[in-house]
Amino acid sequence: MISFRNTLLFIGLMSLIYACKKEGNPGLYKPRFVVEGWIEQDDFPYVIVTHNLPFFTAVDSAQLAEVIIRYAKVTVSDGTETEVLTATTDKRYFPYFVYRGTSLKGKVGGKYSLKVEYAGNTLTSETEIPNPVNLDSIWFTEKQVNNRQLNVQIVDAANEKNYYRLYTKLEKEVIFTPTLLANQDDLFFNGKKLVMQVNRGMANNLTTKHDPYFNIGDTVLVKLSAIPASGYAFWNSLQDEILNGSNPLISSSKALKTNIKGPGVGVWCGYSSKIYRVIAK
Amino acid sequence: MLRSLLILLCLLFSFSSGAQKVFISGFVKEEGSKRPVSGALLHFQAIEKEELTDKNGYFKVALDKGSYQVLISYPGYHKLGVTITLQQDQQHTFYLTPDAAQLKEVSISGNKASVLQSNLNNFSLLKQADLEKAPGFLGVHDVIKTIQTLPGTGNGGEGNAGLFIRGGGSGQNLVLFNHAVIYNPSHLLGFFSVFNSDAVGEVKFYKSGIPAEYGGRLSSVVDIQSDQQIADSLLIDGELSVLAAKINLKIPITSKWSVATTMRKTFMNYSAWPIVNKFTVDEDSGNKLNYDFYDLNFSTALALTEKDKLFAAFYVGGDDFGLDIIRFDISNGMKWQNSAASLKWNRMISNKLNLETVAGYSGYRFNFGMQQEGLEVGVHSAITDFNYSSTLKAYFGAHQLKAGLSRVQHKFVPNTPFSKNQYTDFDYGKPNTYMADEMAAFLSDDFKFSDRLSVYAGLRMTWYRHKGPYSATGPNGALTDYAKGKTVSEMFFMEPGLTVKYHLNRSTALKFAYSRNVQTIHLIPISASNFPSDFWIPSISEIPPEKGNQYSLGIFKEWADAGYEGYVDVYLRDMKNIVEFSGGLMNLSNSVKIEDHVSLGKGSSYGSEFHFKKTKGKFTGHISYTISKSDRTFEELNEGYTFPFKYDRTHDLTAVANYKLQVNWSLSALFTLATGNAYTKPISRYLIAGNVINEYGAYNGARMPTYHRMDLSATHKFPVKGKYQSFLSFSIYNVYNRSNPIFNYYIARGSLNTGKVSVQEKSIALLPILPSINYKIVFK
Repeated sequence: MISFRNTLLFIGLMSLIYACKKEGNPGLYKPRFVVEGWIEQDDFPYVIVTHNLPFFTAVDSAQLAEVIIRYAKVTVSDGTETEVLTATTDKRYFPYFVYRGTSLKGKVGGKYSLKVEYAGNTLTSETEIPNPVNLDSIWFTEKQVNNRQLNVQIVDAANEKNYYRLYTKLEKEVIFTPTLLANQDDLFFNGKKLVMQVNRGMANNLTTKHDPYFNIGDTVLVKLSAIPASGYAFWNSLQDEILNGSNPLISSSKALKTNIKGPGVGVWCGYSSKIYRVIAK
Repeated sequence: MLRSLLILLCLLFSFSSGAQKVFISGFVKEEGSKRPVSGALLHFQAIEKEELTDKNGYFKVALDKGSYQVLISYPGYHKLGVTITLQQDQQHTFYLTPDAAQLKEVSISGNKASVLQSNLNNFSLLKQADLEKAPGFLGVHDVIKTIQTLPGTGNGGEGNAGLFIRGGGSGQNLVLFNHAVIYNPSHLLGFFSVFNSDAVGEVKFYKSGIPAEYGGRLSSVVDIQSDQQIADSLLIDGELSVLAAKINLKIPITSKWSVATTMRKTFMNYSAWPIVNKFTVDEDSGNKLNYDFYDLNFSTALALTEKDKLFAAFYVGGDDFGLDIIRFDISNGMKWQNSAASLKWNRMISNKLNLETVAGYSGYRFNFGMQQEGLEVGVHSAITDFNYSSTLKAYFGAHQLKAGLSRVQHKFVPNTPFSKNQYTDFDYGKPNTYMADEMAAFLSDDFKFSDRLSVYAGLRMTWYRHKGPYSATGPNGALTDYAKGKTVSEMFFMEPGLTVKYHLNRSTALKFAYSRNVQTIHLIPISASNFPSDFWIPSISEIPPEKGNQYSLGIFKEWADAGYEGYVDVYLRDMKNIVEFSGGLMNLSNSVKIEDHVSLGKGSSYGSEFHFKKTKGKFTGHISYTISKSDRTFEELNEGYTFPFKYDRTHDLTAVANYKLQVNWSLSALFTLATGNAYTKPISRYLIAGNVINEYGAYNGARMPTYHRMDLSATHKFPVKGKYQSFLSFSIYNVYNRSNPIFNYYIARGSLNTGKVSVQEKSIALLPILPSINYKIVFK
């Protein structure tokens, strides 16, 4: 009941703000939708829709449940087939509530548009699934007695613009975690061989617990995705905010490069991914 | 405005023989060495007229015909009384005899009398002794820190190297060291400037009415010159403190040639930082600092003939800074180096004509590196300047004219990114390089209309050119390549200035100053706190020169007998084409062209400055207070709304006190209080990919806490033993251990799974209470 009342309140606030064309004082909290959507080759689209919170609002289970937008109409189209996604709970992805397709699947080279409609607001975005990219080789180097660092090599295609995103997970874990510096732009190594000494990333920015290495004997899954430019821009700005926002020497740009149009932020991104299974030794 | 100034300038010249008076001119020199005494006071007793000698010891006074008693004085010398009968223009050279007893007591101190005269100048004159009046940071006295005790001159908060004059940015100050530009005049986070006080002879600090011979900055000029006199005796002094060692030598080689050198090296990585780090380390805000610097000054003065003097100076100083952010296992490192060299030839063509020619070089190198495990990323930046100038100074009647030419050639390589790991060097292509040159001609006249009124008018004309090699992207995306030396864009502009001084009575005067300034190079602010990672680029067609106007009006008063002086000065400024950088340092490594990430905007500032100083007695000191407002408007920032300048200081108060306890002890104290920096604070947050991300609100909409701090010091002078004298000083920085944060950030902690997340505000504050002991020994 509380959640419903909050949702109503949120809708009220939203319509109030977006009713006015010129926004007033830029310093005030403005309600916004947050969209995180993805479509991989040979998989259905997934979209999470939430809304932002005033900065110092206490975050507890009730608030976390409240940020979820549960009754949106989420539509994905590849130009010929259009599908309205189905809302469902999914324990893999926080906040455990996603909109998921059941018919339309991603294809390499396909272009996909997204539309989220909710309480009179419409958010749109477009993405594509780029050509797949490969890891050329994967190996581990010794760090201390039982620790092993992951190394990967990519041979970049010279005649193609490529953006890469790299993840790892232990076989037993549920989801992939992006590596510490997960995003690469071939602007700086076009057509060359790129070798990366990979540090595992933190699961999220709520923890300081972070082990950059694997243990000897771990079964590791390494995922390399090719992503479009807009996806790279978003993930790189997110990484900048997380890593540099608290570093006074560098400081972050303080703005995520969203590709969502309308009263929202976030990313709608196509991925062309390959997963490799290796044992740390 | 410009036309009326030109007319005024012509008028001034045509007036050259207007006054019906006779002139007495000449020099005041030291008996024996024949060195000119700069700042000596000539007091014409019956008519209560006073005049100071200039830096060549030259003076010129217009008087009615008749007989005059003149008393000539300068601290450290016996007073000289003479009688002069004037029927026609006359020239005299007066010789002052050093007072051995006084010399031991007084080092080169400020000018005791005629304060009003010197206060009315557009510059504040600081001498070495002035630097020692406030407690130094860890016992080290410093030029920039001393300037920051004057009204209208803000510091950027703790750990901020910038000097913020009357609401202007830190890149709007022209800092000259023996005529060469110093691009980054700061060692560590602004705690020390690069100017070793032993190498500082005198400092002229202009914050309004910048004269025509200086060009190229909107806010201020800090002109620092080493002692250019030929040393007549050997001087060796050494100083040791908990963080640095310093040695200073002056060696006469012949009676006409001497060399001087001073060196400083810190060893804080072995003294200060281990202690600081021990107190500040925790998991979330834990940072590990390490830092050391050195600098070396060398100069030589040579009198070729009675009329020709050469002075050459060389400076090199470097810094090595490290900050490890434990939370991310990131090591940041910064190294920077300033170098400067200059050769000056001063020729007294006649008693009325003086020609000064300077050739100089300035270099600045900066390296930033961030290392995380095997990956290294970073940015290099470099500036190389060559400059030349000639200034002719002429005294005609009541006019003091200056005319000159200058030429500067710049090479900027502002941001060369690199990143590499063990196997791969990332390829960022050719580094951005910008070549530019500037030619300027200037002319000014300082004219005494009467005893009450004097007027300064000046004009500087500059032709600026951005030249190849360069590739420019046209509006249709086509690339145009410019060959080496080819003009990419050029512009011509004029910088007029006018100062009017009017004496209401002997002790009260009004001063109005106007200047229009143009700045062809820009300091792009990147870091949150004015670190040396901020870099310079010259004007190009997409980033035109910064332009500004400043008006100020003040009333100046002295109570000479009681030893008080004070002023109130109000100012109004406007600026346009000032720059802000969108994004952090890391965006640079991804951006090939800086100009695509720079926003242009305008700024305005106004304020009122109050200064009160006590100069006589056991207790001396001054209080400076400024109330001001400075804001910025950028179309691309803050949705186009005007926002406060980051270093906007509603209130800024500094008090410096000095007390001579006994003959051999002196105490000093400094208290400073200022409105906190403006910064951008998050207003909301959202959850994405399992992270809690900040969404930022109004640009510079929040304020850091009020900055305040007190420092104390005590110095004991041991009695002279033969040729040796020693000094022991104790100082405490931040006496009441105030934590003045330099940077705030926000982190979320907890777990989304359990539904418990808290958002914490974290601050980085650098320095707790820091006591120090210095010991100094001087051999003469």
